[in-house]
Amino acid sequence: MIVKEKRRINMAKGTHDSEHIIHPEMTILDVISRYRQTEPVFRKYDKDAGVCLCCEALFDPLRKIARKYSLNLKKLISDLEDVAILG
Amino acid sequence: MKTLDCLGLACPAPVLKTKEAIEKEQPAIIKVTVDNEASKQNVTRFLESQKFEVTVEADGPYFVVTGKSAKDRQAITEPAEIEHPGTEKKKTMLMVGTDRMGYGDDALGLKLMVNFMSTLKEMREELWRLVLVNNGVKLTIEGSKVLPALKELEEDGIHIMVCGTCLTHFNLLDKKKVGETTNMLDIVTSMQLADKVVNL
Repeated sequence: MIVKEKRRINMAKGTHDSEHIIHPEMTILDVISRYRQTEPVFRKYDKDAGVCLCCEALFDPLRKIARKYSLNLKKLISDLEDVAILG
Repeated sequence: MKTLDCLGLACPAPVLKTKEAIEKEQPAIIKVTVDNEASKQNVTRFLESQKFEVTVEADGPYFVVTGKSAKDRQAITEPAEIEHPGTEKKKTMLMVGTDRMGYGDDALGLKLMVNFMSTLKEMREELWRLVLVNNGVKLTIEGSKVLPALKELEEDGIHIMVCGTCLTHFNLLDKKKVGETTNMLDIVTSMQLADKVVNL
């Protein structure tokens, strides 16, 4: 059901991936620019990362951020998508 | 000119506001006032990524980040080129990856480096950015013999960029006394923007 919903949103937003609306190569700025409501998700991860991600890594891709700050990339993307699809 | 007041806003809000303003209005000049270091660095970096030439001025506790678009720079420089061909200001980036000048004798190398940094000001406005990487970051820490010369250059408006990874590697992050801590993307962007890159 969620995948179906995501597909619908992808089509509406003009993205191509049929399953994900947020990709590991997107930067924090890319994500927040497109889905403003995801900012609190990054704030939530600040504690695990030990830094303010929006301050220190705004231009870094999620994949790099996850590696650098030892975050679970899949969970981060999943958390972001959960909020993003709510619009 | 577009002016944005981002006082009291934390990242990423100032960058998002700047991005929105550029996308909507495509201003030739944009002036963004921020009140924290992270916003200053991120707005600067964003503007540079959008091909703006950026200057940062401290205004008490605030920072005024001004970006001038390539189009606007062209409009300003083109008449000058017609009136005074060959006199346009070139941007030279100097990259220093060592705390000694040359190889062979370290004591001599240090003397030469002190002399070199003191003489750099003779490049006047042509010297645009000084980027310090690897052992070069050691020139910026307390006790460095070239610190006074570097401070003088910074006061003269030379943008001194110090590699953050290198400072961390040498455990010198807290000892840096001059320049702005930077990263590889900023260094590469500077290389793109510079008319000439000199590697020492």
